[in-house]
Amino acid sequence: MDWPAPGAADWDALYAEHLPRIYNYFRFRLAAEADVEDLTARVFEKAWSARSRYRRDVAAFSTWLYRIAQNVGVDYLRSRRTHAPLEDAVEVIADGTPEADAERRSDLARLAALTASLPDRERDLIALRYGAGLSNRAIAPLVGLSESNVGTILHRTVQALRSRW
Amino acid sequence: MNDEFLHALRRDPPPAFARELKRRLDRVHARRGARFTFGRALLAMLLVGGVAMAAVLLLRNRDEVTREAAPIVHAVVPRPAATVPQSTATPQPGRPVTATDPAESPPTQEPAAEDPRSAFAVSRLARPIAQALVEDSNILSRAGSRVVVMDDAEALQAVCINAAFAMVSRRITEQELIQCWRRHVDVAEWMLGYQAVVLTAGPTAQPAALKPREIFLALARRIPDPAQPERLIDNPNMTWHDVDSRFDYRGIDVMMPSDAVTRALFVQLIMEPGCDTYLWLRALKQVNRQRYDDVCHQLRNDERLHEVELVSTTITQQLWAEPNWLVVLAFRDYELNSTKLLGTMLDGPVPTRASLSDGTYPAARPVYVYDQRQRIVTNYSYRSLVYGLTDRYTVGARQGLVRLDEPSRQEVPPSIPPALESLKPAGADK
Repeated sequence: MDWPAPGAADWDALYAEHLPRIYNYFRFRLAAEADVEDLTARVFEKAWSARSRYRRDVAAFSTWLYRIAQNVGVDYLRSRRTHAPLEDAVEVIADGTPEADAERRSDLARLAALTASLPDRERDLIALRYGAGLSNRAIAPLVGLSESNVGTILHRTVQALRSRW
Repeated sequence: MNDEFLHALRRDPPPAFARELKRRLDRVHARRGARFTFGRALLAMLLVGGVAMAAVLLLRNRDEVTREAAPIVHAVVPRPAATVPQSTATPQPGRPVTATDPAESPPTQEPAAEDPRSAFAVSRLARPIAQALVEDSNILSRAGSRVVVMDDAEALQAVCINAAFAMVSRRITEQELIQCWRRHVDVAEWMLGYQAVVLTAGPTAQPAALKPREIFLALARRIPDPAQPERLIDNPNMTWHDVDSRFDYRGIDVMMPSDAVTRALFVQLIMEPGCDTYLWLRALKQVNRQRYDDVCHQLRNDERLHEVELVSTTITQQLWAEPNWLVVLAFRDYELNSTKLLGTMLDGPVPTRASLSDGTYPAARPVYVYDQRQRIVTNYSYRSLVYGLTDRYTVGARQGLVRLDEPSRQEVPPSIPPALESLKPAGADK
């Protein structure tokens, strides 16, 4: 969907459509549920304040919005890394056996535990596909891959996750 | 775990959070709206004031430039005492510069006469570079400069009259320089580099030494009828053997990058020389340029010419998969991948920086810039522009310009035999 002409009704529609998507993008992207609302709000505030700079001839609204979300997510992970390296988090997660973890964690937390060991790109793809609910075609320009590459990588990643579930 | 399971992990954001965020966004919007109204009023005031100041400055500047330029263009220049020798320069393509005294020439024949100060006189080949320069340069943009395409000779004549700069594909000749001096104008020269294009193939392809005429006959949309060369027919050639019987029956398959710059270089550096081997087409260049371009620049649009997006796999995979296909590359792309390519399929030496510099590689032309020396000395804007022009990283790379090493791009005096030094305007070297 493209950016509408300035007007409350159109913004309402965009907000209603993309809020759950951005919210779930961060839920899938980050293991920390507590910060999801904060990051979601940050994305919309950035988009809203930069609304006059958005150019529909350069990118679709969704592409623009998810690019902001990706940047916000990267900044967040980077800032968190200064306090606790990501490798440490993986080690903490890997302490318990998957079976033991399964009893304690919700499905999403368990998925986060498994995806923590994935490369950053694969985690982003999972979050965009299943969190934000974007199609492979919409994801392709966001990650700089072709549509078929996105499909292939996602297929392999889900298979890998399934084998370790 | 499957797609359905993963999608089912989604949940809606808490309603309280959604409501609170919406309220915050609406507040931001309201604040920005108020600021915007104030900002708009301020901007309008600044614009009005700015336009008024600009108009005043422009009018003053135009007066000054006219006062400065007028003596150069319109002064009656006395004939030099020494007899001007006939030029020994080699004949150049395009209209030759006449040897008549400029004072005798009617002003209407002077190129770029309509508004020469803002004209950037360029050859067809150098046009993309000049266009990029004008678009990137604040000085030229502010001056409303525009690129005027001319023959090399016309461009060099224009800069001696009053064009802002000339960017041409050959060096100025002795005769043209003397014409400038007769106007009491000395010119400064810079060589920016070269424009070159390469027709090559994958490393396993069978080498060939194609002549421009054969490439023209293989790739032009319409070619002269072999039975009646003055008549054009749709290109019937499907194999290289059809073009010339010394080749085998390999199909004509050429990959052409979709970027306009490489295509333009190919058309002007390889197709044109091939087209010019037909005398009646060559004559057309002088009398009907539009028709000449229609015939000599139009590439075939059937399945023999494959327009491709140049990506990292074009050379490593597509050429590997199709070893008999040829590919047209800008020199820079060729240079980066030369180890994975056969070399040139054009008759002549392999394209290297050395063969570009010594002029032996046929599909390359130099890029020279000329301007009036006095103007550069006295006018800061022109001097700044020259620094921009000779900056290695700012101009021309995307337009196919092959930069030379630093010393080669410094200003060089045009080469004139010592016997002609007496014609040089007084103080020209300052």
